[in-house]
Amino acid sequence: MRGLRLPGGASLLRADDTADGSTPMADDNPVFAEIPLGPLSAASRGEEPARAGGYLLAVVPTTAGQYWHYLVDQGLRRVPAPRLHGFLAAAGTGLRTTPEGVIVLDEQWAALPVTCVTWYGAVAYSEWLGSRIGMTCRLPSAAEWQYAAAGAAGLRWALGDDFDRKTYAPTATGPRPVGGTPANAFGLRDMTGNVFEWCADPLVTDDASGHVALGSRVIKGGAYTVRNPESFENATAFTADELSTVPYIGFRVLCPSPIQVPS
Amino acid sequence: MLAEQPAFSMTEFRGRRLTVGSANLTTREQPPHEVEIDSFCLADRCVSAADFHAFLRDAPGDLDHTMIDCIDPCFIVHRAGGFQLRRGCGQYPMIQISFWAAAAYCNWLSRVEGLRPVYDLGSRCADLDADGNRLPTEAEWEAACHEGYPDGAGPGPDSCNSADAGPTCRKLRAGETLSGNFLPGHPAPVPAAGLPADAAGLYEMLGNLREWCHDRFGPYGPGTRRNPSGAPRGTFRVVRGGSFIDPVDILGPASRMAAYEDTKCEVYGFRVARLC
Repeated sequence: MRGLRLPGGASLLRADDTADGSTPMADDNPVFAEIPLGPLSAASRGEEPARAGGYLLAVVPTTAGQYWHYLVDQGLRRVPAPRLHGFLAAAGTGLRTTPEGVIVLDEQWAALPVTCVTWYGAVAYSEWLGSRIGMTCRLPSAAEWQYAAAGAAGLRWALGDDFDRKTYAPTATGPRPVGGTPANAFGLRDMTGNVFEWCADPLVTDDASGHVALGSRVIKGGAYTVRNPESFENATAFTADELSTVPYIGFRVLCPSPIQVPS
Repeated sequence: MLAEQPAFSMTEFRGRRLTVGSANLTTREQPPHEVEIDSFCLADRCVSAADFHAFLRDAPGDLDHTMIDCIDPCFIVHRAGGFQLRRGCGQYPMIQISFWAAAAYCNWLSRVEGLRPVYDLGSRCADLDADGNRLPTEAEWEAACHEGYPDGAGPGPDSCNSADAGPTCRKLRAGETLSGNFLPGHPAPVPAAGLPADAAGLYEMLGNLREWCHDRFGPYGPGTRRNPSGAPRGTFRVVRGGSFIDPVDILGPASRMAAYEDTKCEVYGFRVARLC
């Protein structure tokens, strides 16, 4: 596929690269789309600043195959790491834990979004990826995720203001491979549906001493386990225990843009 | 045998003939009609998060992640070590489970107790002649609730966790202790058996959680029926009793609602029933 090569071999996808309908394939290194700096529409502004964007976001969620490279590189295949991940014993989600406690990759499911990774595991993968490609990678904030999904127009779902159940949320008992849905205006795929995506923001409440963190983090985008269209909306935010390992939460990586984009 | 017994106990209700439904509520409750039911036992309270966690630890393969939601708010999370009860959450009623997850719990408890399971989760069928645990039929639920409020007056605002709950009740809500990551001041469940029992000895029949019943949802038919168990087909189930988000004036023994059977939500829970 076409795209700019980033340091360390990651690729940058320009929004117009998707015009030929090609689907970015899962690869060792993620492909990033540019989310240029732009104005927020009045409808989508809310409490957010009036301008948004100016970063790169992975075109699709991190895949099981990509997380596998991290496990191998970091020597984590045979080491229990319950703060990072907890893969199920059953096959079908890409990575699984054998009865001996070793993590294995089922190649035929390498293009599934990696799930059963905790919020800390998603952060650790992002930092590792950044060190490999010479950038500072991290999880998006909920606001960054929402702008990338909804655009300046503030769309309700990733591809428009109508909920297309067949595209976003076909009946399923598990995740489906990444990249199966059309790209939005920024070139991002799968923002709505399939698996929730971890964001950086903690769940906090206020008490007399100020903010109290409750040990949960924001998840966005809906998943095959939920049904109501409202649960999938770009503006909707759920939270989950940050040590959760469940087959319906994945994540995608953000990098600050190395390129000055005219606003 | 279980290391720990469930927190609920079973109350016996004799068989009877009763009028189910009402002419004064919504079209869902019409027409009022005569029903005959056999004797049954009904749990005095909803299945708690601790009760459900005992099932998940003992038989984690009996349900999958499409049947239970472990995102906030919830009393049970899923971590690398498996399902885990959040701190301080054991006494709250189990939420965020589908109809079939409730059925899976009933089957597991039947096996533990040496009874014949009622539900077949593979074919999504039920055998009501089996002696095992199941969800109450809505006629059973309605009969038990009438017995709890014999003079027709509902519970007061401090003994019913509805949207109109009084301050004493609100203090018991999960959010006041951040249990399950419910937030302070927001609607939330109170502990199972946290409020006074009704005249039949049952806790939180009205308010707190909408309770999954056995019946597939459908309009009431005419004529007297014996041991009705719902519509022959469909994917919606009857839920009874209303919840912490429902206004008190729509809660009552005859009020009925429907819920898609795969729904997992913090306003749905369940209690166990079986033949006596």
